[in-house]
Amino acid sequence: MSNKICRAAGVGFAFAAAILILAAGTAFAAYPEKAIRLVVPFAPGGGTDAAARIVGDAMTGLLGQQIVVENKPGAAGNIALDTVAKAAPDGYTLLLGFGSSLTVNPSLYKVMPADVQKDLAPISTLSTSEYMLVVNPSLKVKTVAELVAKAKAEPGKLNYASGGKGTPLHLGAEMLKKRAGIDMVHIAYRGGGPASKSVMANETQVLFASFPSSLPKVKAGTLTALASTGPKRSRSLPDLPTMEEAGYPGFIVTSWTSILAPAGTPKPVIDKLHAAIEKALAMESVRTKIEAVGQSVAGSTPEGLATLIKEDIARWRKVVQDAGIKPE
Amino acid sequence: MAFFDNLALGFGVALTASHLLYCLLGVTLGSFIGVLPGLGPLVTISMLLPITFNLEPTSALIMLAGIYYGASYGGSTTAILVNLPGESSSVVTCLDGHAMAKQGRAGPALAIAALSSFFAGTVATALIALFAPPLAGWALSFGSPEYFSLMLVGLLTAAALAHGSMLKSMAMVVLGLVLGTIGTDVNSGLYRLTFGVPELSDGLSFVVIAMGMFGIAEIVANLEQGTAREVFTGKVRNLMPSRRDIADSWRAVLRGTGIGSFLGILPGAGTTISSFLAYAMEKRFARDPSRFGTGAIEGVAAPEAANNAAAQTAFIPTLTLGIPGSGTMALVLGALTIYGIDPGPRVMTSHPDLFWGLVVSMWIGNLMLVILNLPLIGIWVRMLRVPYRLLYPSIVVLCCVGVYTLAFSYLDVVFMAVSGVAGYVLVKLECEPAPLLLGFVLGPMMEENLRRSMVLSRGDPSIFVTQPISLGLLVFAAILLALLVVPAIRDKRAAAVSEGEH
Repeated sequence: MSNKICRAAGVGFAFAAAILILAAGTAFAAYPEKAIRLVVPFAPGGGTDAAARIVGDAMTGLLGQQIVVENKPGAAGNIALDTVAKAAPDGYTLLLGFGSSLTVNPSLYKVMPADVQKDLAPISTLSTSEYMLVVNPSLKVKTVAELVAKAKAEPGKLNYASGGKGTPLHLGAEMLKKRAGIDMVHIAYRGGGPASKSVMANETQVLFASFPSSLPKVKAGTLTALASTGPKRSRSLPDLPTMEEAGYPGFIVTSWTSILAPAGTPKPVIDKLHAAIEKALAMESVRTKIEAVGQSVAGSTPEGLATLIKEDIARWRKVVQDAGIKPE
Repeated sequence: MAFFDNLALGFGVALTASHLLYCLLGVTLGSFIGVLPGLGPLVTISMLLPITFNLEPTSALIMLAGIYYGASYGGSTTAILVNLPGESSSVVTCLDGHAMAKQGRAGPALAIAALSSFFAGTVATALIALFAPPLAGWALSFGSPEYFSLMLVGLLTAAALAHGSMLKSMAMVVLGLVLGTIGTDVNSGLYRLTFGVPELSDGLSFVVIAMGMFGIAEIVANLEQGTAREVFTGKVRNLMPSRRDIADSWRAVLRGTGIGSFLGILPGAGTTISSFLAYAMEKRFARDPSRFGTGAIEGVAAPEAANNAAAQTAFIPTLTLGIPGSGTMALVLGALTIYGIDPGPRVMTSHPDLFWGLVVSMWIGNLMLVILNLPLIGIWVRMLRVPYRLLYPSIVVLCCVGVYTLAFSYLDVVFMAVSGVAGYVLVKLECEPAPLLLGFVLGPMMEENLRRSMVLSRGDPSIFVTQPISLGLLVFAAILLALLVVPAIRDKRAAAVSEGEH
């Protein structure tokens, strides 16, 4: 009797296990079966949010499930990082990773909510964007060399603006100070908009500014552009030299956007998402929209993104330490 | 008469059927989200932005602008009816607007809000059309020292916000200043008063505190009265403002429009501050300040005119300098770039159809809002007859949902609840939350600009008196202070003398 029960139980168990395995198999095959959350580390508006919505929109069409953009701003992106790193690794919660949030924050904060390299599974980069070095026109400098000469003639007199501590705008200027051996005073503003206004009003004189916000001002002559910070000249200002051409090899300040999942997300899910992102980035409509918000489309393999994160963390750590910025 | 040619061009663009439709769509959507607490134009526009990529730029911009000023308009409705500021700019409207509603005068309050907004919108639109470039230059001449002095003036008017004890009002301002320091200090990048909670690193949200201290506290306070009570027992009298209401408020509308138009031009100063200042000024210069807070119609007219004027003139720096004054304006600016339009001094000449079309459609949109909202007043007022046990729980739910969508953070909901309880306690202690909120808004900006000015001057405080605009504002602040202190001293002396006589 008990034997029968045992056997029945055994068969039942095997059966249940078989169903579970089958179900699990089909679960991944059928992924995605419901809407996917894409957590953006900033408030709506701005380039990163735009990239998320543009690519998310295209992926919705490709995957047949809604990609829902969820803005979780705060702590320079650490709150969004925390949310995704602790989410179930099932492919239904993804992080829109912004370059400097992921790679500068580890040097800027004593306590990080998660280990960017261990707790996240990279999927792909989406886009890159560069910055430009702009000055107030009344400074009457046209090249980086002239700016450096001016700063050396009057040490500590020039002010440079930034959108806050640890932003690429701040670190770019600190890199310039270090590389050129000049002294400029840091004036922090609440974001890139007020920083750019301060240069236009000559309250500050120097700024590493984002392309989309400064391009119209450079064209209108209210700001003078000295150099761009990408590895190549910018398509929108082909006459503007890069920082490397201006005599600072390796002076590259770019930011990128990417999509990452919580560590432990199954490989088939990662592959499926990567394929969808690759297809989305190849779409003409996605490319034009990304370019319209001042970025360039740039995909990668999951391994490529992992390497990028590793290298950038090391690179920014050095800049932060050189600038003497204390972690908070 | 280039101006009239431009205006004709603008009307030509704005009056096409499709543009009228987009304008209507925008303002309708805007007033709707303005009514919903927490849900603001920022979230709505960012959600709609990808859709507008496929539209023709002028249509898209007309619609986005409609959402933006429609929301600043709709926010006053819930402020008046249920003491719940739908938008941060309508916090001050709660003070007298809701008091009027309690007296059965919700109709006139809503109507005067609509009419003063329309008037302010018309004036502000005309300002954009006539003087956009020179006004933009003025925005640039406002640097850090000027902002500091302006905020100082603002803080001094806080004393006028409360109608109870001056000491308590000052205490509330200070409490607001302290709450305002929570978060990351802009100048040093250091955390203050965050207690290791990452969600606090960007500070408390104004909307969260305002909704708690006004809306939720009001609901808690109403619980005392038992569940049987209706929200408004008083009979609802006429829906439209009387001749006397108009006579009482037209000067307030004019002053509010002036303050709002001016502050709207300054990036970062914003609609919230303009409504606070307009209210405070109104009370300061009123013949009988004691009426304020108890249902004075000027207390509704002035801030509503101010916030709507500011919402419109905020387009000046955005369009002509490419400098956004707020998050929403940054989105509009981003949209312009996406459509391949470079905002800047040349936008009026390079895209005249877009610029003038937008300006004219903003005026048409304001007109639509009045036409749309005046008939709705009857319906809104009737909504107040919904039994308390049904109406208020739904408001609480709406508040929670709205606050949650701000940053998808449940902690914001908790903060709102805490502010609600704190707001109730403050009411019991006869401390008013309005000065607290003013301190909360102005404090961080004042500190930030003070310290930035000092770094800019390398530690020399004379920077505040050597800049003419800053000096002018400081002199004004001194006069305000004198007006505040002298009567108080005189009263005390009079009291002492009369005591001595006995």
